[in-house]
Amino acid sequence: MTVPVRPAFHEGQVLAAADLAATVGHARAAAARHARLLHDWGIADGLGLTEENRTDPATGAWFVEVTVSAGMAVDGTGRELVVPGPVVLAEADFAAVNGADQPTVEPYPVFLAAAERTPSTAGLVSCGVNGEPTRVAESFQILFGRLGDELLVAEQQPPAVGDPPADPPIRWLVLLGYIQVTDGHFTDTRTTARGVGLRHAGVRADTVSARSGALTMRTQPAVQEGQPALVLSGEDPPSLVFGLYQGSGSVSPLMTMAANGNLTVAGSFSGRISAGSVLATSGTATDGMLVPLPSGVSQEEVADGRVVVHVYVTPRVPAPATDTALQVPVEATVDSDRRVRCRLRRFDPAVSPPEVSEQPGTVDFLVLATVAATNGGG
Amino acid sequence: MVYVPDTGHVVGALGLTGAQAPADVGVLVGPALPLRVALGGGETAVLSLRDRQLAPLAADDEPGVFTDPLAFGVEQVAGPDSTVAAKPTLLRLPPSSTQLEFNTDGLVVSVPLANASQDTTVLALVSAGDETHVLAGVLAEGQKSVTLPVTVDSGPHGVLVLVAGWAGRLEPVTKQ
Repeated sequence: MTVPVRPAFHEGQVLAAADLAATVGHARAAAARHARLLHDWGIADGLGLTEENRTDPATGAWFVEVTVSAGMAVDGTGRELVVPGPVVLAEADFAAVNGADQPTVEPYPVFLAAAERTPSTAGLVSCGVNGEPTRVAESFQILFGRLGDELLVAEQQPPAVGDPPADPPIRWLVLLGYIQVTDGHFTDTRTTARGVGLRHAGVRADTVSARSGALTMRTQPAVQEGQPALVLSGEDPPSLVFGLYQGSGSVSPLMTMAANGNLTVAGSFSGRISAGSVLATSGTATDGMLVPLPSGVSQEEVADGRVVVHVYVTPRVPAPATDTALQVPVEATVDSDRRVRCRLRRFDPAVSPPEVSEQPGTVDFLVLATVAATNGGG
Repeated sequence: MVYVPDTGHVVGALGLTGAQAPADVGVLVGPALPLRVALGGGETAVLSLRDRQLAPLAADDEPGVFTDPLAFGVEQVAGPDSTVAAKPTLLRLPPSSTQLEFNTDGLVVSVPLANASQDTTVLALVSAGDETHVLAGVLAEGQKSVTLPVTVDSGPHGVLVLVAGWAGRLEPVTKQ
């Protein structure tokens, strides 16, 4: 087990290269630990694949020139990958990796990885003993993967907590996107393929506190009209607001939780019904029809006992066709499927020969659905 | 409301207080709509109209349909792209009191008046024990009677007869 060691200096000490290297190394290690333990690795800014329409002068075929925009990512070892300016992807580099593949419409992954180089700007670099370089450029390389290599991204394992900063050849792939290739030319770009998309840098924090009195979360770096935002405000009175940005930059509330617990929603509300609630529906149904459940109650809730249903039916007895006819309901109920069972029996002693007949009937129904109490209430 | 698109007959009705009834046949009737016919002697025949034979309709208010749904029909008109649209206003169909009977060839279905301008669709369900025979036929232009081939045992059978343009009939018919 090795704990971080901080260089210390004193008057009269002869400084060796190792002492200065330890100074830099201590700071690098601290920064790397911060990046990988307090943040989730991924693209921090920029690094999008942009397209520019082009035409092949030899064949007249349309294609796109693909450029990686400037930006920065943090890899899983805690290294910063800085791309200071746009980089045009070379089709020849792609062909060197995948040129032998059969033509396919499947998109190929494009990765960013760290690379260390010796700066060529000699004027800024002093030479050390034996001509060794005294500067290291923390550069990058853009790699074309083979089909399916995007799955390697999730398999990468971060270094242990106490490990020193990773240096090449330790490689960590950051997925930048995908390119589609037709007849040797790039023809399209994508951000997701085969279920694997881009990964952006995140924050690991159990507490996030604001200094202005309001904490805002949004889905885009910049404020955009129509995009959602969540605002926890400590102003008087405190509130939690979910809403959409307006053109003015303010958030138009769709849902507001006030300090007294009141919830205000601009739309309709649906969800689980609290225990003891009673929902009702009523109407009229003919024999054989299914009596519906009240709105908001599902058959699954009834089947598993979360909701108990009570159905009351009253048979409708129409006026008899003649003054002497008798008409009585012989059945008026619902079965276990809530199917109406209603029959009317008719008899007219004045008709010769007297005859008893039965006809389907109709019921007026009232359905009460009670949400059963569960352990701990609901 | 659920109706049989083949003949236009309403076979079941559901009205909710202050709300629209579901527009899904499966929700309205489940896999089938059972129509029961008393055969006498405490026996009851069940004739099942499968859900695929039915269609839902949000019909205009018609209190009479709850008293006798089979007495009402749905007018269907041709829509664009060979579709058929059902009008929401229900039609009261004329009753037919002609005798239903079995002969040696099948079920004889008659109407009081022949349609002189076009063929008339006929659909009948006949109970046979736990089974239901589904019979389809046509009253040819100008004809008042058609025999729908079916073989059943002697005795009472539950019968549903739907002749397009005439009130539906749900009653026991005895084969001699």
